[in-house]
Amino acid sequence: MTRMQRWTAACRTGALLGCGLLLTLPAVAQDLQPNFPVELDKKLAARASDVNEVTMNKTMLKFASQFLDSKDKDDVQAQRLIQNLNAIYVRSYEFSEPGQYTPEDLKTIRQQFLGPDWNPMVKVRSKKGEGDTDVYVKMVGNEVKGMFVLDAEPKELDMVYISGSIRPEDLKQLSGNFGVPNLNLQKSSTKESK
Amino acid sequence: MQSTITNSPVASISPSRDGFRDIVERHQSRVYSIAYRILGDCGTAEEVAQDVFLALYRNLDQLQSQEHLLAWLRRVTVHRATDAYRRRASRVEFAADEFSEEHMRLDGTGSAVSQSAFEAGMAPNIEQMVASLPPVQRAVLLLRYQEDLLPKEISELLSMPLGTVKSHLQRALKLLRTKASRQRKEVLHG
Amino acid sequence: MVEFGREPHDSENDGFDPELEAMFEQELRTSLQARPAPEGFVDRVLTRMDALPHHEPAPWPVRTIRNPLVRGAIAATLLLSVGVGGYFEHQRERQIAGEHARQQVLLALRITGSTLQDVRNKVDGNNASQQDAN
Repeated sequence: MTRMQRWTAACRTGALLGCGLLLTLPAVAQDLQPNFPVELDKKLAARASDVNEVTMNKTMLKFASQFLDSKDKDDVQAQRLIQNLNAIYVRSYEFSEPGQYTPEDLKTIRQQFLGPDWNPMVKVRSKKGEGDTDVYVKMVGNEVKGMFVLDAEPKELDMVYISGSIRPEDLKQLSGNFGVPNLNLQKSSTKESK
Repeated sequence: MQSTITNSPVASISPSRDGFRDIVERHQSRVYSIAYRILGDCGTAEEVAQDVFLALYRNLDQLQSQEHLLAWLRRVTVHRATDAYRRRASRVEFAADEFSEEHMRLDGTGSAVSQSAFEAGMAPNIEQMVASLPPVQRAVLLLRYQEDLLPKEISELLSMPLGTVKSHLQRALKLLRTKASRQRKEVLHG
Repeated sequence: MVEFGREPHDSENDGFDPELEAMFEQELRTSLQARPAPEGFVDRVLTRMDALPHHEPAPWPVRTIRNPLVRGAIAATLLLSVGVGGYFEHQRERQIAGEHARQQVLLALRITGSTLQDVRNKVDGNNASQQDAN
């Protein structure tokens, strides 16, 4: 076998191996830089009296992680949390009065998480007007690869979309540092208040 | 530093931060689209698109008009995207396929997470077919049908002989027509 | 304007008529309209731009100095100071951009935490009312 033939064979083998590897990865290219999936966010921002929006994709998360302080407890926790993430999007809107978003708006948002990958983990509906809550988790195989939280109150609407590997212990780590409760991802909780 | 882009051949462009922001906002879709459709991968396309704008920022004082800027953006984006494609040749083919599968699923189920209303409305088959073309043909096709340039303009932009541009376009269109015809037959016959 | 490809297309039609061909090209144009850049793209470009070193030249003294050795020394010192100053300026800007990014991450995690805390409270509240009802 000539050198050229050996090189061609090696390339072919490498390509086949790469092919096999990539075919097992679910939509990696699409997940690396996901967009914030909710289309209403600009409309909601326009109606809000106070807006907090954070958009961090993988590049920004990597950049930010270089500046997290290894001596600060919160920073250390943050570093551990974001290392496997592709993106974090946060949209937090406060309104000066109720009624700035409609049940239809919430329905539109929820519909975007009805796909086969997304599982509703928490669904709380309040008939007393205290607000509705949804948590959706994106499962790929047995791994959590994304999370969407929608917390709707009369004068506040919060949305969090996290893309990337999230482990239950990651969420537990937030507890005490960022005030995150222990969400049991093995069991879904679908409740409606009566 | 303050001046705005004009069409005067002698005016130089050196905008303020806000001015540069305007430039990026005005051209981000164009640059990103070209990069994405050549590369077939969101992440790399954004990296390339960001690099193009940073290079633009460094070279702004050499650009003398709006037309010049537009041509510069198109040329540099195509070159950087095709360079990036060549460096990642085998991975990109699969990224294009994954994008296509994801897109078919988006349209098929209608309920997966959609990135934007724009994407929900796009015809996935055409973009899937374009993604399967060789990168140079893809680039020429994009400049023709996304950017609406004439073959002569494409030839000048890419410093490619006019005959070569026309040949790429012909072959690309022929390939796309054949694929489209095959898909129509598959749909009709189940 | 002569529509591209009429002549070659006629000879390589492969059974496609000009009308279908025109429709196909129109469909291509529609499908290949520029797609929106990802959310936050402009901000990310500007953040990277802010971290770039500035290329503003250092100010030159107005009076010329005749001694070539002195001129050379001044030129070398100025170049060195521009280089060193430019480096520190770049570092400073990078630090500012990095600190901003760090604050954004911490804010995102804080809001995530408090949102999930609200979720927990609502779930617990519902559990309690259901138990009371039972």
